[in-house]
Amino acid sequence: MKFIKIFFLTAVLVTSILFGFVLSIDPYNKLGINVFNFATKAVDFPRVNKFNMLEHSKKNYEAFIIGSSAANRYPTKVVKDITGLETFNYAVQSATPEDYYAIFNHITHRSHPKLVILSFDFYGLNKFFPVEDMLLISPLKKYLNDVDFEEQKNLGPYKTYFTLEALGDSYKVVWVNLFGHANHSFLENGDYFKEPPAVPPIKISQFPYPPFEFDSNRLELCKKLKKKADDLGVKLIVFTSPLSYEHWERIAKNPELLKNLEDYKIKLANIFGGVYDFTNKGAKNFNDIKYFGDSTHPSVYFSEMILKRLLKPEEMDGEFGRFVSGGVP
Amino acid sequence: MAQDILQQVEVIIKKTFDNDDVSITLETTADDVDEWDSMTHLELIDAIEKHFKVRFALGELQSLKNIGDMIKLILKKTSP
Amino acid sequence: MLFNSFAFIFCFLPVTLAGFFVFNKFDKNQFAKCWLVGASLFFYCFWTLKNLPIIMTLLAVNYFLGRELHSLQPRWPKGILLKLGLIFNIGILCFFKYANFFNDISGSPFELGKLLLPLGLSFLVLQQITYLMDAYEGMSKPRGLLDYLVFGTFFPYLIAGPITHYEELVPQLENKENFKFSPDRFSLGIYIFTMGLAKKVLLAESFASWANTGFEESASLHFFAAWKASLAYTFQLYFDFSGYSEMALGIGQMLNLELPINFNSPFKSKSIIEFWTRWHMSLSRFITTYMFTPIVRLMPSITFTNSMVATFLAMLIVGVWHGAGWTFTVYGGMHGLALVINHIWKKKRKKKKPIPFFGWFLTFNFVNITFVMFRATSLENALQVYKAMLGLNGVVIAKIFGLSKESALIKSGWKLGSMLKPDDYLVLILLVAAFVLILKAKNIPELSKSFKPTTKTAVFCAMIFSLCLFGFNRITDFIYFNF
Repeated sequence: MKFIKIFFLTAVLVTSILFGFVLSIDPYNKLGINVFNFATKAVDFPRVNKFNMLEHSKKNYEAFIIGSSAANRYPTKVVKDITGLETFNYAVQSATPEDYYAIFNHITHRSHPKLVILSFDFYGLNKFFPVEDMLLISPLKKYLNDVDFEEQKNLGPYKTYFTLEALGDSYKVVWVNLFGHANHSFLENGDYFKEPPAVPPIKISQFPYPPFEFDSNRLELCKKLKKKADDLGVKLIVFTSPLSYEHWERIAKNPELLKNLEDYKIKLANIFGGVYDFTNKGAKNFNDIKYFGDSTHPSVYFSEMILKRLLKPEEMDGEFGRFVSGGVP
Repeated sequence: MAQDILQQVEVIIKKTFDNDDVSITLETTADDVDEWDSMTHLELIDAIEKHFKVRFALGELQSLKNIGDMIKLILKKTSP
Repeated sequence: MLFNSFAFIFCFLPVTLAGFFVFNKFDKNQFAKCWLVGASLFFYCFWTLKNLPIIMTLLAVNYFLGRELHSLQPRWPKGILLKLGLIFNIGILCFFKYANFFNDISGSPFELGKLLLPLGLSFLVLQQITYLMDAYEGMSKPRGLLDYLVFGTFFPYLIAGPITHYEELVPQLENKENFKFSPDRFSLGIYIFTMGLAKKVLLAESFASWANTGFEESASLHFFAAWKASLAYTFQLYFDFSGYSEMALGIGQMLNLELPINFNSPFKSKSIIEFWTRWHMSLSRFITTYMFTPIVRLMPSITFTNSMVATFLAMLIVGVWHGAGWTFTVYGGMHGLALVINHIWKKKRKKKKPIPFFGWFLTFNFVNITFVMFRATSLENALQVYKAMLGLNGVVIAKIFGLSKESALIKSGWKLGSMLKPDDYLVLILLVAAFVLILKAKNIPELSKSFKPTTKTAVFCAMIFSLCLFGFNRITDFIYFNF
């Protein structure tokens, strides 16, 4: 009988302690608790990391790169070399226009940037592609106050703290704060850590459509973003995030999807007064792991090339990266 | 009686497994004899059935992998 | 309701246990048995009500057949009753399991609709076959309907085994001692259950995600990734299924009932013959007793060649029992062939002692390779993984141990991958831990023999249990629910 009693008492005790531990750490900043006054939380989440990096940086950044994980590898040094502006890479995973908007608000709230380069993802205008859960529990959320969007009810593994993931992340937070110097998976200026070329063949696994349908709320959000940029005098360069040739081919096989892709460029061009198009069959010339890590992520080498083309458009030739001008009805 | 059967079983085992070094007791199980696996088990059962003129049920075969149980079962089946 | 869910652990199990012991305390043993049957049916219906009629029909027919087979003056010859019973049981199983498959490959014009295999039917049918066989051979005593229902619906093994014989369970329900709540056995039950739970929640589910990703992206796997995926699946399957079996054993202990052991450290095996005496033992026993032996006995004489043919056939049937589809057939064939080769080699080798490590290495890798076939969604999927495991898709090595572009490996055609990420370290740690567990640790049947209800063990158990509770929010099914 003793065994059974001790088992149950200890189980209740240990469960309470573990859960209490997670709550006191609050690894996803859901509760606003920070018992131990830690400098950083949720060590693996760029929306939190990059936010904090920027907040604590002493540099005066004047140029920013915004986008999804596809924009991770654009080296800030290239922008600085060409424009002379101190640059920060603010790319976050699975970004949608909600992220672009929140990030734009954050950076303009902090300082007066002169240049913002936006790598715009096709999937981002898809109504069926949800807002990333992490945005909703990151500090960026406060820059979305004027946005009306359907809040995701299901926050996946983050919906409750009673998970092994939350326990593991709490432990990571403690470890990083006490024993590591709150290091991030990003280098200075938000640059991606260097990585060697990926493995052939190029993976096509990230293909989040069909279904595809334009999200009118997000298009409105883009208009708002453009207006703010104009009001603040920020130069906004928008380009469609490059897709590998395999990826483009798969889209092209579906005539409806291909039409959506073309419409997407025109819509963007209309909103932003022109857009550089890196999402077309011109990718055929760059169909190699030298250029693409997988079907949506350009390599560091290719990212550099793209930046140079964007910032010196007069040197641009060929279909890949062509300028689609706005004003088309 | 049991001792007598044990000796006869030992002879059958030696012959079936073609190994004269095997010695068995009432505690011996299939795990103790290298050659005794599910395959040779059937040859052994067949030999024992023929020798003692008995017939084992399918459900009994697994318990025959233990010499003690085997002897008991043979005794039960051969007693009038 | 899964064993690893809040509903099961905090509602169903306590209520069921309490009811059972309360009825017994007031000497209402028949009520206690009814209570168990009721609880088991509730447990089954918690998933779906739809299959209840099928299960009840199966039980009813088998009960009446069993009663006739037990009786001294059956209305029909026992041989005919048994054959009818076998045809009925196997017929039902084949109908639900293979109708879709044959419809697909023959392209028959009849639209059967998508038949879904009733949960647990594969195990239930095998168990009912043992019941009929035991009754026919006089291996079991006739008892009442209630005892039969307890045996037929007992929730710990209802969905995924272990396949338990009537005489293994029911006599325990007649022992007066077993009616009383026993703190010692209950403690042992908690211990076994917690260990099984930990295997499932902490180990199997961690391996699951790596295995799933690997098999989904089979076309783009390279050498190390393919081995990671296959090993992850092997460990997932083992920890998942043995964890489930042990949870069943643990619940049995809490009710003072002993169930047969299903796993006995299978990965310590040094030959494939040995592996099948340690892996899914209740199924192995079934195959040997009711498939292999009758096939051999049907043959004119017991020769080595005939036994080999029987072995191969029996394993082929095991493969197909897991499901319709070529992957399972090939899986069974692979194991059948390996057993044949193992037996031939053993015969040839004679007295020479085998080298233990070599035997283990061969066995483990062979099993790991066949599990790729077992897991794959199609033959093509399996071939892709095999290709990658052979290094035909190239080798990418992580940037460790000071490897640079100039090193010999890279020059010989290996590609340099990214730095190891935290997740990769977790994979390595868990793989090492898994190997230590399967090779060095005592298994749960061994541990329960030496179990003592000490404070230290209680605290240890409670800590593991608490950790497992945190894992309940990512519930996935047990693999063997699908068979």
